[in-house]
Amino acid sequence: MSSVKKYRPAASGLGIIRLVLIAACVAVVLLSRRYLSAYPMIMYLVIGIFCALAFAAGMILLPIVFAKSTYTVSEDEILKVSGMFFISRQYMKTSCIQYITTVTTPLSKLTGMNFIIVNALGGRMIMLFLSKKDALEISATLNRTIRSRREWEKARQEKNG
Amino acid sequence: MVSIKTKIADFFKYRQHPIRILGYTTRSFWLIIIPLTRNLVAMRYDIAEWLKGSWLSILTVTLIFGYAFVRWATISYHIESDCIIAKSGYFGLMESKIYYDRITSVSASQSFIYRIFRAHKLYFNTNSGFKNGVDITLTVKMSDYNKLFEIIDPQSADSASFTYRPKHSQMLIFSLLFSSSLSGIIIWSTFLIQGSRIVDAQIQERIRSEIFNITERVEALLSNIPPIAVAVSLAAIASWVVSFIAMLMRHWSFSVVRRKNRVVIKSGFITRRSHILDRESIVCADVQQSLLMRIFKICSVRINCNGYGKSDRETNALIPITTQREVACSLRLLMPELKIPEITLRPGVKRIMYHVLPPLLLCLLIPIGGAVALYFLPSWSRIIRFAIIIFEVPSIWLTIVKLVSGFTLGAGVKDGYLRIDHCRLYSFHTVIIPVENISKVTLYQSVPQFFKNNCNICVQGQSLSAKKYKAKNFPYEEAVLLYEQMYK
Repeated sequence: MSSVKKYRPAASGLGIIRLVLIAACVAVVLLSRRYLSAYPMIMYLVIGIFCALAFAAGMILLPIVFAKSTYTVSEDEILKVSGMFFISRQYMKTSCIQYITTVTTPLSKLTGMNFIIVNALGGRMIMLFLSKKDALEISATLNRTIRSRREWEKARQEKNG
Repeated sequence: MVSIKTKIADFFKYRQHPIRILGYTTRSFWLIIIPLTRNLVAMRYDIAEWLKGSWLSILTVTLIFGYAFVRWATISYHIESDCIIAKSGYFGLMESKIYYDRITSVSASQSFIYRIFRAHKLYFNTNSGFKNGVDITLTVKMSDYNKLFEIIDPQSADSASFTYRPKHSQMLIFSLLFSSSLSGIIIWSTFLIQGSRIVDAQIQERIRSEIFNITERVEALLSNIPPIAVAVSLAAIASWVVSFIAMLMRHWSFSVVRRKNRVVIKSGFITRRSHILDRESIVCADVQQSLLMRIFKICSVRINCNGYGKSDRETNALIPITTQREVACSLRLLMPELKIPEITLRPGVKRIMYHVLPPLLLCLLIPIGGAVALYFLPSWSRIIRFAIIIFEVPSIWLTIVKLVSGFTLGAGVKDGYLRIDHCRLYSFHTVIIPVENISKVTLYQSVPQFFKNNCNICVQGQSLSAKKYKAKNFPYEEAVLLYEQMYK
């Protein structure tokens, strides 16, 4: 029987995005005050719009995306559920996988900035913001699946002569 | 305890060849380093004075080189018995593990400079990703290249191999036939753009005036022809010559070896290239001919395999040039599993006009358009007349090609293989594709075709390039029958 495991994006990834958004807001405020101070109306409009967008993204939209995203990995297939209001489901047969790329950034244990790119026949699936433990586990599982399938195919070829 | 020497050896063992560091530097690196060196020579090697005067440039060069070094140091690879693990991307953040049996092709290229430093550039391709992207690119040492090629393509004594090596005269004909002015222009302009970034402005100016002088002299000789015509003709001839030389150099010493489940292709004079292709990953074979080649009964066989013939203006040739009589025999040698079906479905002579009509209309429209232009712009008459000739000649040629194609188009199925003979612009193609490698077959009708009960057949193979093979104007019912035969 094939084991099925469900993974979710790491919460620390959301924290990092929020920090980036705050930094971007500060940068926009400083730049606007430096270059748009002659036009206070435009300056407040730019700062207001940017901060509102950053707030909406960091406090409402991204938490929804993080909460709704799941990656289900089994020996037969991978299921990626993502989206905000309209949920999309991507299925990928593990038999189509060509190779796996694991992206781990420095301090990824703390930041959750680990990604897995599943390269398959004619396309790819990206798993975002995984914890380091989950990323390594998924990568090992998928590589094990590729290897076992390879051995199975080899055995079948030898049997068929 | 591990000694420092062992640690350093281990560090270099899994790193790319150090020549790669130069590849990671930017082009501006050379722009700065040449004047810097010139300054040092001008200052009679007074280092202190040189450092004082050019500290900013030296700092920039150091930063560029430092960045390139860090990139090189963070990218590593491990060659295992069943897979290759590569840390690539910026600062080696991406770790990819590719099993050898998933690889469709491995290409290696060794330029003249790489040959001096005993380095090879490797491109690994699988059936994944988008379009023509390479999955991993590495610059490796000679020892690693040999090790890797020995694993991927083991040359055991018991495994039989078949070699096909065309003669040099055949390669000369191949280069003559497949060189084009357009690719010449691309090579020439790349050379000029890259060169202009390094070469002094004075030298550039001298080259430019030299070209101008030649054009003027030729123009004086052919005083009746407009100068623009002379310039265009000269540029076309020069570009064609450049393209011909590049083509010849690229495919010199071409050889194909079939061994077990691999096909090994080697070629190149200055830059040596070798490709290992997985035979099962070859989607289809395409026998190509131009009208002249058809008259002289020669052809070229191309293959569609992901990763082969995509980089550096390379062709995907399996048999660069051969005679029509020998093609089946050579194909049997290199691709024994391939079966060439007979043509069972033809559009028929009565449908010839459908093929000829569009280019024929073009032939008529060009002089009409020219006459209108002459009426409104009489002062431009010489240029317009020249343009009419320039556009009319290829249109007439296209009409002749399409007329011939009316007799040669066709399709057939046999033993799980589909053959589709079609014509794309000026070239004739005979595509042989295993039915299992077909991802899509489309039978479609335009409005006039609907009333005439004709249809076009469009076949798409399971390759990343999503290449389509289209044959036009077949009787609809017979085309449907052919489709049913394919999956019987």
